[in-house]
Amino acid sequence: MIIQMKVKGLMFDPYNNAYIIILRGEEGNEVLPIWVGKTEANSISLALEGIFTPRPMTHDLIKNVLDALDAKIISIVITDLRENTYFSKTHLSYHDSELTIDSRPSDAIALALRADAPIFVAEHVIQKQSSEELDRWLENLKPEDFGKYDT
Amino acid sequence: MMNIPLNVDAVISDPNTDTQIVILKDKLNLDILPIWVGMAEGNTIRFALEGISAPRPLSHDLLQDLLEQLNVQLEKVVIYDISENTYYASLHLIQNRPKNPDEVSDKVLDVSEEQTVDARPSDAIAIALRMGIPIYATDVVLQKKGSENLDHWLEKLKPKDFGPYDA
Repeated sequence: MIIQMKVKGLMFDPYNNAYIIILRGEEGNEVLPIWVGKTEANSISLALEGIFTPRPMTHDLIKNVLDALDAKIISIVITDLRENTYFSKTHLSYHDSELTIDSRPSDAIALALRADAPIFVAEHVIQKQSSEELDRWLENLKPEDFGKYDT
Repeated sequence: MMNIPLNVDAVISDPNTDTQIVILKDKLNLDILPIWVGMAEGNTIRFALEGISAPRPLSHDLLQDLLEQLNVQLEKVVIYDISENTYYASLHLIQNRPKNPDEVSDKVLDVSEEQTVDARPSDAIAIALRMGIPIYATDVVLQKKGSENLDHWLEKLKPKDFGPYDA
């Protein structure tokens, strides 16, 4: 089962000095946060805001290469989550054939936004994510976060 | 216009700015072409230069995978212009596609078509290094860079760099 999601926003995560892309279900209330680096976040934010840079950024280049070759991004699917790493696949159509390429979600999302392609997430990723995320929050907790239960 | 083959000699940090400089040299070390790139772009090129591969495909690895799966050859990258301190490069792709089946022909050969795609030199160099593709600069760029680089240095000079000549 896969769920279509949209990029709802980008946040800065001061704990991990990274950025979080927030995906939200098109119909339901599923939320999927994905941690990405600064360069990737920057590329995604340019695409979200529809800003054209004077020179092509790396994902613009990839999109331009695909356009020149007449290859089209059909969709991207975030397929798995293992040890805090998300895996995704980019599906393309090229001369009556279809091909699938392994990619990081940050690249896949940056390309999907530029190509107006839908973003899908496998349902088990969303389920897994809620438990992995709990681990992540627990790791970041400091003693003072636990409050004053022993006073 | 003539294309001169260049090698990536080094990536160095520019202490004056938050950028890195990619140093390209010709085979005889007669011509040096320094190109200023961003921090992230410089790191990507450095990884490629040192042959470090990331556990997950980075953006340029993705581009390489795409080209391979689409059966497209990257023939060369060319740094072909410089204007107002901005370098322009292009990727030269050779696309092999099957002949139109409706076409009556006894040749079985595929049709090869060359495509050129505009790129920043940092992307062009990063992908060329990964794929072992030759990097060229046009003679025009190598001639022009002399004066453009001087401008770059002059812009960055601070009053104290001029020394105590009026003291």
